[in-house]
Amino acid sequence: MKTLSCILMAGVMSVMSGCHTSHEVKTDSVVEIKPIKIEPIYARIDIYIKIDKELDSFFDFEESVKPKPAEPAATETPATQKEGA
Amino acid sequence: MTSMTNKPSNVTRRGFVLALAAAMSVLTIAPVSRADEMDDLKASFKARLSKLKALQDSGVVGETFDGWVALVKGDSDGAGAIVSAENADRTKLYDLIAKKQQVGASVVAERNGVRNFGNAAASHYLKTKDGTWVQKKDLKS
Repeated sequence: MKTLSCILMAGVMSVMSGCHTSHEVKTDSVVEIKPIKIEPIYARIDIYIKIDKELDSFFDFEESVKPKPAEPAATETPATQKEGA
Repeated sequence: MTSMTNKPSNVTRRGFVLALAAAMSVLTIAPVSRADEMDDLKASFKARLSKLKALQDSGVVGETFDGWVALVKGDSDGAGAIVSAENADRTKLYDLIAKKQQVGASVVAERNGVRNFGNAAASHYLKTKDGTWVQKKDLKS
């Protein structure tokens, strides 16, 4: 009896495993990956800053002969006259 | 009976100490000598500054976009000698900074060109990339 039930169970299991549905969804999606171009622009700016600092520090003695930026022309204000003068 | 030991001999130890001292002295002397060289260069630039500015003010000498000075017109008042001396010192300076920053000397020279264009007076002559001399006031940015 035990053997029979085992055989039956095995039979049922095999039938169950055979009865399955499968769903396949096929998609044709193309992901385009453009080549990433990393320019060393930050590194270049960084080195320019360092060089500029070096140059400014070296030529600090030139500050005394540097042309001064043009100042706006001073508007002449009429001298206030004292009353009765 | 003499015992054999694995202790380094005095000669080996002395050699190691000497090598270490030599390495230390090289490491400490190199930056000092560089600083000395920079100081000497600075003194040389300073000594020439007033003459160079006078020549730039009179329009005989101008700055180039790539970091050098050059004669705008003909050689007069010993301007050629000043230009040569200035450019020789600039070559040394650019080399020193380039070595420190690990770039080409031409990069340093061009940065100094940009700097000099910025600092120039309105009447000073500047040589642009197309090879023409223009006064700063007429320079189109």
